Amino acid sequence: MRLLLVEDDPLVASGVVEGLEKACFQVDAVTAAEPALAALALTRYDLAIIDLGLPRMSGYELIRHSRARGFALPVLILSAQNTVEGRVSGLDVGADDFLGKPFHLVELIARIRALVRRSHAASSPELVVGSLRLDLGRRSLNLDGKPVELTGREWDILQLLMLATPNVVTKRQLVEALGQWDKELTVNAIEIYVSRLRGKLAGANVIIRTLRGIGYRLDECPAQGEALTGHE
Amino acid sequence: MNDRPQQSLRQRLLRHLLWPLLALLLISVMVDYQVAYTPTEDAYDHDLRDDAAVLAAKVQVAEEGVQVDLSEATAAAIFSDSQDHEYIAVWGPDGRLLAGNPALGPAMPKHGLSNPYLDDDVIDGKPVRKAVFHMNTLKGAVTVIIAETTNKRQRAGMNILLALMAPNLLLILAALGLVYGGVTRALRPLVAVSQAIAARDPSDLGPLPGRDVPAELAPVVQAMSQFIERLRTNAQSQQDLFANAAHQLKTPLAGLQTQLELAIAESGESERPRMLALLSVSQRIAHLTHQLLALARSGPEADVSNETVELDLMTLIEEGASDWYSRALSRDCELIFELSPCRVIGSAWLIKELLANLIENAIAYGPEGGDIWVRCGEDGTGHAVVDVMDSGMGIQRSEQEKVFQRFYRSPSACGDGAGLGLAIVKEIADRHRATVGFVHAEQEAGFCVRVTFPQAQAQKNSAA
Repeated sequence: MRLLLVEDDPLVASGVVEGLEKACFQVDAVTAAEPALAALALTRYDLAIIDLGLPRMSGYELIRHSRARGFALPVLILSAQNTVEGRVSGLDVGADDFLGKPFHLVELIARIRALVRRSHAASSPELVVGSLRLDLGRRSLNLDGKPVELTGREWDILQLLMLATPNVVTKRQLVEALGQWDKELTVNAIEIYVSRLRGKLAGANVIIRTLRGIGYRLDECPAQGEALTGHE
Repeated sequence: MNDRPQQSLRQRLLRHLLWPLLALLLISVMVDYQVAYTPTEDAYDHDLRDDAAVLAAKVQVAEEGVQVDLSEATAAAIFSDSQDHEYIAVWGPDGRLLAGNPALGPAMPKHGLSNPYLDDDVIDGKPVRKAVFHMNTLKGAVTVIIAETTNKRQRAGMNILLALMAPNLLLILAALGLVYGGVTRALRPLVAVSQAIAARDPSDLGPLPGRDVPAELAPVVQAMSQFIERLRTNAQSQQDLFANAAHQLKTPLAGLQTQLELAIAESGESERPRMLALLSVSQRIAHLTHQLLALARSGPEADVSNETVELDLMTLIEEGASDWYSRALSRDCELIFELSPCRVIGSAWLIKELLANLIENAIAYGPEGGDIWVRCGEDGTGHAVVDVMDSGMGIQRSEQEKVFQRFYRSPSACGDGAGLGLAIVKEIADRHRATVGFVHAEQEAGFCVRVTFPQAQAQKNSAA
């Protein structure tokens, strides 16, 4: 996957480039908004990482211009300005996600993967998280290359979780998404489906966590050799 | 402290009014007395003159000399007074006492006075009033003196004084009462202004209201408003500097953290512990920077009025849940949420900071592997309430006041926080007019921090 990094601080830029390349991304780095626009016009990127505090044209302006010119790629904002106004303004001009500085490389990578995954979901036949490979056409699951049998409901739940990761899917969202086709789905019923799903996913490098009172989250368990887990 | 200046103003006013008032009343009494007593005295003096004339009529000038007929009838006519003792003296032409008491010495005629004239004297130690009548007879000058003690005069004077006292005393008391009442009423606007100032929220750095201020106070109130405005501007620019500094630190810290994470991934077994220690320090600095920024933005000087909106706490908590849950995982703790909708009015960022700090504390000071509960909902009276509960020992009662101070760390605390978490919580709570309290749960053993917000409707009305 090819990423564009727009960051003017040299230390942060070099660290991010190195970290992303270690995670098998291809990264082009520029230090200002103007060359970024030129690069976006020349190359098809899967995602752009944009720092807000750029020298002349600000990150906001860059994003606004990009959207105006029809560059629809997902945009992740990286910024020291970790406030509600910052986040909301960023989303308003067309960014897709926001990560404050300082950040963990693991989290940056997870979010980049998630954004790319979601942006490809409409067009791509596959959804990949860790060693899970979901075939959206055939509605089948492959775990480490081996097929796993899932019921319709289990599949739907897993798809939602995989699309959302690393974000949480609330119980309400699950009930709304799944309760469409037939009878009302209760929260307890979802618990049962999830626990069955957990059983089937045992041995994978992912884990479905229950956030009691909130919902569920699919987490990737870091393999050895990858950058250290974010939260100590 | 607030009413002492009031007292001395009132006392000063009273003092300045009271003594002149009393002096005036004293003069009034004196004048009244004179006006009332003079006719009385004149009447007695008139009688005395008459008596002197009667006595003078009894002086007979004969060939042999001058004689005085002091028969019983004469005596009765003259000495008919039950209250006073009368003395007489008649001095002949050659200075001889013709009759009466020598103590009433001969008196020279006084020019310019009427004849008889009246005078005061002392006989046997007693004060007397005498009438002196000079006669120029064929045989020479004769002086007739009649004197009486002043008992009835004194008694009359006393009666008049007493009769005057009552109304004048009433006047004094009424005047005092009116002065006191008037002063109190006049000072009421002063009290109102001082109460208005005292009732101000400590975070309110807006100008003082200029209406309902008496003309004399207007310049004072205006000067104070200007002073407060200067204070606010100063404080705000300091906060801006503070916030900018914290903000500027974040980018180099990001560079540092990223490099360290990469170094750890590359390091061998022997170097890893040191690198992990470095990373830990870097994260502590980053956390402290973030907290300093939060403090800067939550203080009363920070202008975040444009951020104030109506929020649902449940939604806010749901938004932060995933991050907080991951933080809890780092100490093997599980975050459990029990949420119901509840409205507050305030800043989303600040309230999230408040929650983040409470949860961070629960993670840091609760036992490893323990559970942490986050509950929110509306209590019976429409107040939004948030509880964060861990299963740890909590904060000792003796320290519960101190923990809200900046940089205060309990002696029993381990971990590497800077002591700012609860200070931030308190500042943000104050800003939202919320209260922070500690609740020792009855059913479950554990320690709970409770934040109670004001009713959303009431806040709206008071234009936060």
